[in-house]
Amino acid sequence: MERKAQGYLFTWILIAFLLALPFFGGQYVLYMVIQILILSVFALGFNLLLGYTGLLSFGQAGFFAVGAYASAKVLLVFPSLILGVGAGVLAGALAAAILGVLCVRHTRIYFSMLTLSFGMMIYSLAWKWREVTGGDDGLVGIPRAPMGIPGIFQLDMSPMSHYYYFVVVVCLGAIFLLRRMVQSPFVLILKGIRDSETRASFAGIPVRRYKLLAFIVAGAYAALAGSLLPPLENTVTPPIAHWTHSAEPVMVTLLGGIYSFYGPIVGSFFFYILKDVIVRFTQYWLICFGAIIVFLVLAFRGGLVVFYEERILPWLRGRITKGG
Amino acid sequence: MAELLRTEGIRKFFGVVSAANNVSLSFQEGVLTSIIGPNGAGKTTFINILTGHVKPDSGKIFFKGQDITDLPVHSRVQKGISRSFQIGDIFPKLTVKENLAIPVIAKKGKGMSFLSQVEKDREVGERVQDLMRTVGLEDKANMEAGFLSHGDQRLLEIALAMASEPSLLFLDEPTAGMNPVERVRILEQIRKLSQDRSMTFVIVEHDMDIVFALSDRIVVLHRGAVVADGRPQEIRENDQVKEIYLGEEVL
Repeated sequence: MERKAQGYLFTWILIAFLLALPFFGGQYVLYMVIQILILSVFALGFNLLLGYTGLLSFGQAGFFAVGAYASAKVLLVFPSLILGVGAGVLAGALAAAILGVLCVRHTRIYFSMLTLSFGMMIYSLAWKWREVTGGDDGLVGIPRAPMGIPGIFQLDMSPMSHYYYFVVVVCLGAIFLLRRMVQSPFVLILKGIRDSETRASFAGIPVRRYKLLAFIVAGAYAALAGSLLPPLENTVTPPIAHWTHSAEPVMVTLLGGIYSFYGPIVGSFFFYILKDVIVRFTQYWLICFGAIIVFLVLAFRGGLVVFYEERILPWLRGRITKGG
Repeated sequence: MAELLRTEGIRKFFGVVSAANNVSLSFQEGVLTSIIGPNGAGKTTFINILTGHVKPDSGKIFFKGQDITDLPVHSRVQKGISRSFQIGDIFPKLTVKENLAIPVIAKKGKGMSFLSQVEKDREVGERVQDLMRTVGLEDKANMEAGFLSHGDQRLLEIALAMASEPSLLFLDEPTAGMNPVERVRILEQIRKLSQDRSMTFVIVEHDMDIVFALSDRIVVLHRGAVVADGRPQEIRENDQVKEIYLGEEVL
């Protein structure tokens, strides 16, 4: 009970901090937090597949890109943020449904390879389909469109702080929704599939159907993350569909911990902090970054969240009891 | 007595080895049947075929008069055929309670509920409680199944097989690896459930004391074929069966 109360307190402090940030943080800090939130949503969706269903997808950037391009396309025609993001999520979920049917027929490495190739197919589509995607130029001049219902109310989104609030609300909403979902019968069944597919089917569960649904949810989360990017950057270019971008949720999830719900968020936070620090010293930041990630993954088996819960928290408790 | 399941000419070959050779059997409601036979006789394969885990090369399977030969595993479970495994198959990273909640949720058709909380579902909770009581695992409800003792894992496995409220339940060596207390407990439960006709059991077992004490009917398989089929007394006196078993054990 006490643990739970502490958890709530921490969550509310964090939310209050996020809401107050524009009053004292600069543009750059807001930009960073937006990036962290986007990656968090991206990685949380990915971890529904990895940590909860036992499926390692290497193609999530494909759905991220589908979301980003769809939202950009819509925003270029109808400048409405909600419409853009909504279209992005729908397009991503649809793409995941179509490709998922083929992917979930397989498990383990075969599943991973299939998702990798489908992700790269989307990447080449982004390169080659010039009429729609703009090829290597990408789509440019995407407006940070206002939010609202035409003629009733309108919220200007062009200042960074306004858009920041939009991203915070959308991402926290998505995180809360998923937090709720992992306590549901649906996700319990996914965990069963992760532990033993055979036993799950002998429990009367149509395994493929559940895996497909998990894949669609993960795809929709990737697309939601993707659809928040074009209004921030005002452009979309093919590299967001590349497999190296698919590796980001893999890395941050491993870093934060695959068996803890908040692992991917913690991982995303450290990912951007590390990147931000290293980039100041060297342009070869990826090499340093890779080395650090390897070290962290080896040193903190099970991820940072587990390390905190099993080592740091008991140590802190011990200190507090001793002191008091 | 109503017929529950019938097979017609089931054949299955692994290379040149026949695991099922023209097996035609019928299982009646309420009759506790044991399938016995020497190692490699095709007992487990036969169960695998009936439950949909393995496809037969030819032959038909009827459940309650309906052809189920081509149905996938989960559809057969939904129709009322369940099983346990010879090599324990549970959900190791989930607690005992969560393990049992999965088939219960599936049975009650609640699996597509995305935003309700399992913990707060009383209907599921009560059924899970019942199942834990049946096999005697109440005090281990919140233990991770992978950390249970071997015997407890077997108990959990049987509870998992029962959880989907099957009308026909195959148990593949249900008491292997259990201590005597657990063994008696499980056999008592099987006998009780069988007597009040809530489930029909088909058991694969090596322990002949159990087989003869428990069964209403015994089917003897040898090299994938049925060599004897009858009441325990008849099987005990069957020369061919004696030959198969004695031939193996004496030499």
